Amino acid sequence: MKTLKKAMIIDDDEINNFICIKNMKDISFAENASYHLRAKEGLQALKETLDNSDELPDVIFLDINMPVMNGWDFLKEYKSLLPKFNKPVALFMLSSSIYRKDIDMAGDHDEVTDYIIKPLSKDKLKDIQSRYFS
Amino acid sequence: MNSNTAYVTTSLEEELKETGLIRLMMDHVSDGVVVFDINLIVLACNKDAVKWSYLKEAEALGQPIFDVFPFLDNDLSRLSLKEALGGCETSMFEQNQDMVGDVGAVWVTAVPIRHEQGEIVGGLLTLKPNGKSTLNGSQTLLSSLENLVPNLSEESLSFSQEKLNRNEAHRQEVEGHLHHLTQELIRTNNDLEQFAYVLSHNFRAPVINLQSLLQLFNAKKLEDPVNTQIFDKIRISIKQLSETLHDLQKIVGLRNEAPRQEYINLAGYIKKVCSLLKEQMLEAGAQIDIQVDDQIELFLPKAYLHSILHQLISNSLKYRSSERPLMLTFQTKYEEEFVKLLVIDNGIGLNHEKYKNRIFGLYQRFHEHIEGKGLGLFLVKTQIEIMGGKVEFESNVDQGTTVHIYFKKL
Repeated sequence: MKTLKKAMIIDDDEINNFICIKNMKDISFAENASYHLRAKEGLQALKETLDNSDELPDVIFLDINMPVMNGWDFLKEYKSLLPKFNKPVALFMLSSSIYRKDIDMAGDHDEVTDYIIKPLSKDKLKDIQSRYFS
Repeated sequence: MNSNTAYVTTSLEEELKETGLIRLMMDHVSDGVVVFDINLIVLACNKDAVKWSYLKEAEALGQPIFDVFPFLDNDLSRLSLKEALGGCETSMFEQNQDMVGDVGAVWVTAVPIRHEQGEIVGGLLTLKPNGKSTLNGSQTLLSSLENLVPNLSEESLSFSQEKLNRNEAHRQEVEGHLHHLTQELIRTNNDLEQFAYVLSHNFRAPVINLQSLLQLFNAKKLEDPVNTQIFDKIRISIKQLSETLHDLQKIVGLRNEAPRQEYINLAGYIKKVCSLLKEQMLEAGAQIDIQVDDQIELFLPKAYLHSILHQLISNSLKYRSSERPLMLTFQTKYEEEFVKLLVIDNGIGLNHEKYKNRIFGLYQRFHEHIEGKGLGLFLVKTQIEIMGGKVEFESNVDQGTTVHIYFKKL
């Protein structure tokens, strides 16, 4: 399995972020994994690194239910950044929501690679690795 | 002059005397024509009219109209004649009568007769068989068939049109009402959906986390430092769950309890809640302006009014601008069946267009750096709606927020 360079999580739930990072480390999903508790901060980080292929994440996990700027709001702005990235970036929605509406809405966004229901377990990470990064 | 009203210059009796040519004309008209005074006494009638009566023309004059034409002696006819004498220019109705031969249904038209000065002095009645012409043999059949289809005479068309217009207006009114109700239902349903969505999210998230944390827990090596971290997070997750549970009980409790209602003076109560928050007000250098009519009394649960006002004032304090002292204004307006209270501040405000659908939602938050749970305005909305009112808001970034609360009038 190929280990990715960088993974970024955008979620206001610190415990979820802890779980994701621990699981990523345990299976060597990415060399570096970081998180942002606020969508706006995640967006800012992407803006600053969009032409730096070492810093720009290979994969982003985005939560839906966040205060102020939620996942959908984030996607609107992310869309305009996407063409400026100097390498391919995969974005996964990562939510505890099992609502059809959310899943369908994610499907309507071309910039969303897939919709993943929490938790981001080791099995799900391995599946993502083999399906999208091998 | 209106063609649906007859006018006289002298008295009605006087006018009817000079009838040489007019008499001839009347008798050659194939419809029955009857002139009556305001007491419904027959003053004149033509040859055709007496065909509808057992009385002869001479016997009919001076008699009450219902004695001459007994088939008119019913509520509908009386009402129509009364309408004509009240100035209604075309009062029409269909009347079944079977007194004279096999005539069948008769169309009756009544119009007022006015003196030049406008005073109503009597009325003119016309009678025509519903199907016209003489009726015998196969024509009786034809006539009854024609009775089944809409009468196409000009009068009856305009009558039908009037009726249709009235029905249309009624239909539109009912439709408008239904539309309003449907909108209301859709809105309530959306609110409930959002409520269920958010609540299930707030239960699911910590439960999922707990499951994952237990999997990550290193049971083989208890002294593993990660276990301390995990244990700490298990505790946080359980705290989150119990808080959500507590909120849920609070919300469900609101809907189930039937709180005692009492008469409350609105202006007085606003002052009272403000004084309870005096310290925070002083700290904010807040100015309060209560432009509320002293007379306004409301009948509602005091606990609700208290928590609504407390929440809104606390919000104004919390989201005040650092660049200017807080200015808090209370105003009232009357709107239909409501007393509207406006709570106006000059705080940091928010983007109305962006957040209008979420502002009163459960666990919704709009400011990054200010602590909050997103429960306050949800409870405000719930309490107001339980009282039969509604709530709206307007806001502009860095200018302030105005909350409109609609209380049911006494």
